[in-house]
Amino acid sequence: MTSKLTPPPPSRRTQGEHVVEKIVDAGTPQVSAEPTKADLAEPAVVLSGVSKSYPGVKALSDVNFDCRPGEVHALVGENGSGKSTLIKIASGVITHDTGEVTIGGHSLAGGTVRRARKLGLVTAYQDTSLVEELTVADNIALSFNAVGERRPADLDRLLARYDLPFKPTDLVGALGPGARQLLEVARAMSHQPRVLMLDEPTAALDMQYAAHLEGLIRQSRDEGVAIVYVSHRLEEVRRLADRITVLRDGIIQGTYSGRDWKVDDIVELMVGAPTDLEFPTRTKPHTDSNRLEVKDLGGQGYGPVSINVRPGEIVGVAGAEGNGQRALLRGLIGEKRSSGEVLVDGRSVGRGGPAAALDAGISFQSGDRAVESVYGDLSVMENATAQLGPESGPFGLALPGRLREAFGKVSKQLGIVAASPYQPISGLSGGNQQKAVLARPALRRPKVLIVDEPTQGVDARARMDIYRVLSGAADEGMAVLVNSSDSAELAGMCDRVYVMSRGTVVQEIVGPTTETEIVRSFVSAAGVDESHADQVPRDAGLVSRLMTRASSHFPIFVLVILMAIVAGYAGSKSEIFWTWPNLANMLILSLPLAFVALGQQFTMLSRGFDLSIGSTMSLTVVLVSMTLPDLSPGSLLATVPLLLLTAAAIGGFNAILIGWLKINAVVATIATTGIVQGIAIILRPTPSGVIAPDLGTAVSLGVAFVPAPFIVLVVLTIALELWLYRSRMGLAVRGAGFNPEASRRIGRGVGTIRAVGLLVAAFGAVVAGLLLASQTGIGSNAVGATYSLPAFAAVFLGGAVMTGGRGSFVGAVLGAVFLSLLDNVTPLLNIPNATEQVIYGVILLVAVSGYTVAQRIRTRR
Amino acid sequence: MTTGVTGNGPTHMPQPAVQNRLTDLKYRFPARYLASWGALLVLLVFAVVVAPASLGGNSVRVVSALAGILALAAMGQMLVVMLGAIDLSVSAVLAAAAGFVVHYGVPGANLWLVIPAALGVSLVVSVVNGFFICVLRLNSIIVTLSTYGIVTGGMLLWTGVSFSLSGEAPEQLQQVSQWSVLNINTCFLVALIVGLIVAAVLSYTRAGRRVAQVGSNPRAATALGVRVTLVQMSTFAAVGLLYGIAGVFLAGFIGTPDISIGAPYQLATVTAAAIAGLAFSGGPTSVASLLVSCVFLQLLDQALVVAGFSTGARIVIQGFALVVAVAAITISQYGIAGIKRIAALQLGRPVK
Repeated sequence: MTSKLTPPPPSRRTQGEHVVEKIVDAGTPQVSAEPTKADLAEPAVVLSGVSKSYPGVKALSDVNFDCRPGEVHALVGENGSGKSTLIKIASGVITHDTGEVTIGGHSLAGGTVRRARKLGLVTAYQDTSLVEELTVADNIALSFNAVGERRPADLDRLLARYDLPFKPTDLVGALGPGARQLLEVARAMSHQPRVLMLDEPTAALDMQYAAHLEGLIRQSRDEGVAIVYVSHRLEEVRRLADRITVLRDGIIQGTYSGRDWKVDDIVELMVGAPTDLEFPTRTKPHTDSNRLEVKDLGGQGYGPVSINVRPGEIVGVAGAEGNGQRALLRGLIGEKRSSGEVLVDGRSVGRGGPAAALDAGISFQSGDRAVESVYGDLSVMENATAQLGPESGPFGLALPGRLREAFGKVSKQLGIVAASPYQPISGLSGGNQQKAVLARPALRRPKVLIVDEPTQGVDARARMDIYRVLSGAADEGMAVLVNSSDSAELAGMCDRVYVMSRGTVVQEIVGPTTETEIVRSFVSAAGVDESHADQVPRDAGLVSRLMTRASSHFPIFVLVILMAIVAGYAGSKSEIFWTWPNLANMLILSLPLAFVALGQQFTMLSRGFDLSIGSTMSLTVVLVSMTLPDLSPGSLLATVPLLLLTAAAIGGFNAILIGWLKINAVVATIATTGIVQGIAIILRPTPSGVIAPDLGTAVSLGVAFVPAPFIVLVVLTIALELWLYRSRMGLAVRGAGFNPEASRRIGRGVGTIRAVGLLVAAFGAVVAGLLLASQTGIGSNAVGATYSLPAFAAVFLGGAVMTGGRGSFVGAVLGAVFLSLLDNVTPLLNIPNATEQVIYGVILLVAVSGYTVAQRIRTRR
Repeated sequence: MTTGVTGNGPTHMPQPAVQNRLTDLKYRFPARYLASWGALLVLLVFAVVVAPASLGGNSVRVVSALAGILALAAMGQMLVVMLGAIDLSVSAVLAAAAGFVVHYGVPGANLWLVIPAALGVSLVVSVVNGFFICVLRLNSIIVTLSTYGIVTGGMLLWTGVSFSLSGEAPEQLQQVSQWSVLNINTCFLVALIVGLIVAAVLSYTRAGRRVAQVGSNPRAATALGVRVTLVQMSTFAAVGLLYGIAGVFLAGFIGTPDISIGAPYQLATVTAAAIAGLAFSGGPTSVASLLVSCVFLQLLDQALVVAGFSTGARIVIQGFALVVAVAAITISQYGIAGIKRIAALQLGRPVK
């Protein structure tokens, strides 16, 4: 642990070794002394005088920034300094207020993501723009299709070119975070862009992957790509960047060229004042007893691990990304723990999960705030006092006075800055959120405090406060265990550091240490996981692969089997069932439900939901009863445009409510239901009017017992299914359903897809209404209502889900036919209507439970 | 340990105490909870001018009764919405509780047993919903659509359309449910009391506060040691209880209920929650706003009837009222500029 070190990757702590050769004055664009090839070229992307304000905040002011072909231009700054805003403006995700963006000499001029990409600017995002539910190949295709190109034919070669460790057929969701990040960058590179924007590309990568990525970036740069590189890892920036620009509070602080800047100066520019990067001085605890003792703890992704923490001690957990640190911390509070024991002050913690751990005195706080630490909708006070026990009042009460008092005390102590204790925490900066998170143990005073990534997404100034808080907690006698990917932080704060590799502790560093020592210990650890087995899915056997493939069509199999059973049973009990008239009747009656289900399935692919279909069907029947007394050309000429207009009006209205006014789809379509139903009642208060009898006759014509419209239905369904799974647009719709944000980032307008979905749903309901009209023969305002719930049952049986992306048109139609089959056989078998309703519910519940389980097995979650 | 505290985020200016309190109020009663109050105010003006009879004694008695029953059921829906789900089985559960009371509350029966048993039935159904939604993590719309079918069909098989031979709710229950003080019906008073209890539990007890926490971020709640499943299942039990109370009073008020008695409540409870400004993604809510929105919905219907609108026109106007109220909530949250931003985003255009 104290052996000589090889020259370390320079860090903030060893910055003094570097000699400054050339620093350009902050704020002035520099001219390099020896013009290189890159300097002479025309910039590939230029932002000139770009400003952007949000209400109350000036995100960017008068920013001038450019990047030339063949150079890496790094952009650094603290969180909230405007880096992401700059990237998003250049990418066309948001537009600037003033100034101009040109890409390759062409003005972006308020253009879209699509235009930016067409001009040759591609962005790889930190949190990626990949759709996890689709394969690597589909994701690459999505990105190319969005800009109207075909994907490269040979994907294997493409992946090999970037030396990516996975196959085109792998599901992105099965890849580890590092592999996903590599894919995101490689996909951006494969577009052969003029400008490549990389937003924190190494955030999720361990050193080996990071090195691989650096190689790829150099390769692209040498090919003449202009690379804008956003990172907070200054040493990485030093290795890669030809120029570095510092941004603070939306203002460019200066641009340095070359590699010979001083870390101190950059940090000073980022922070705005010389910062005190010193950690609080620690007094070494003198107790030998253990407060936290962990014996042979093991579980998924870690173990067996035995560690201990004494009272008043801060102990760190270090390791390369994905070596079990996160899993160990969660295992300590009883999540996914399979073996071993955790003791607090010698007493064993029960197996009741996090709740039991909390009772035993272990407080766990995560730095992954949005996901597992902060209640975003709740106030900062509510968040800070969430774990406050009996101090908040007797008999399980939470008295507002006591909460305010506790919060006032702790917010002063930790320096939480909020407009009001009642301000929702999501409105605060990362630093203040994290302080509110750490207020919980400060108020509860647990015996053991476990913190995961205490300073993730926290700016430098708030960092110091957080170190002080953790140090203060230890001074009060708590045992503090900290996992951090920032080794400098561990070195500065911890009394001891456990180094993890492959899920086990491989080394324990005692006493004062340095960032370099920690990093070196885990990169040189014998057991370092170099195969990245956790990043890439294992090769599945033939059987399990077949199972996986089959499970996506599981609902269709289930429905076919159910139908066979019901038909077989009905046929054995009733002689009428297999007769042509009965079968023809059943198919005719299934038509309205099938068409309305098709429309519903379409909108549910893009996360739409339309409750108003039933009333739309009613209105259609009413309208048809007014305009179609016969099938004469005159009546048809009036009816067809009227119906198309109706579908467009209802679908468009829904699209406006849901898409623009952002009203919850259920609520919005309840409102539409009322309006449409009301209009139908106004038009036909009581059943009246004649619907062309010929329409009914026309619908029943067909081949053998199969009516012609049913044949149309089958053809249409198959065509839609092929479109969904084989066409580029179908892929785009599924992508937009699975992950709308990712679709937006690659330049695919999700709003349009959703609006089209709602229009199609309304159109399906109108067609269904027309078919229903052929059966009723009279204009009634209530006939459609009974179709709403069965339509949902049909699509859910067919495998559709509310979260979009999944489902199939074949499934939806089979679901509808199956429900019609039940309707058909129950009277034949003398089953009362009520029983049918119960059967309906039970089948829906059981089927959907089964699908969900199959889906979970498939995605191994 | 003594370094001066610094931090980023909004710079904190020392404010006069009054202004501080105003800021607190702004955050404690966000604009989205005020839409229902505004809607009710507008409606009262409309009623006074156009349909004064809707504010007369008899009318108020009916409106308060129906608003009270709606509020009881809507409070159940509200708890479900707090957990981030939607319950479409309300109507069936209401009908089941009403049916149970009618079926067993024959003359001579002990109502002190029958009514708790009816509440028990709806509690069980709701807990089953909760099991599928929270433990098996199925989508709430699918689950409640299924239980809706099963419960409705089951009640039909068991009791028939009118629940019993006479189809009459117990005499005493009818008397209690139709009783009123100063023209305010018992049902409304019960809803007020239950509302106060629900609001107090949600805000002033540690257990109640967990409901909003779990709804807002279940994973965080788990990591922070909240017994999430217990909270969710208890919440669903409370939901069933609220539906049960609503169903029992509905039976009493109507006198001769049938299987379709709950039907209006399936969507009306969701509508009430929407106008009350509740977030359907789960999280905190306002009971007061919900009560007001229930009164608004029932009074609107009554005022439109009194003003002489036809059934169709009434339904259309109610639909538009919902759109306007919910749009107002959205606009209050995002501002006009925000709406334009969202619109641009939806169209794939860059955001202004």
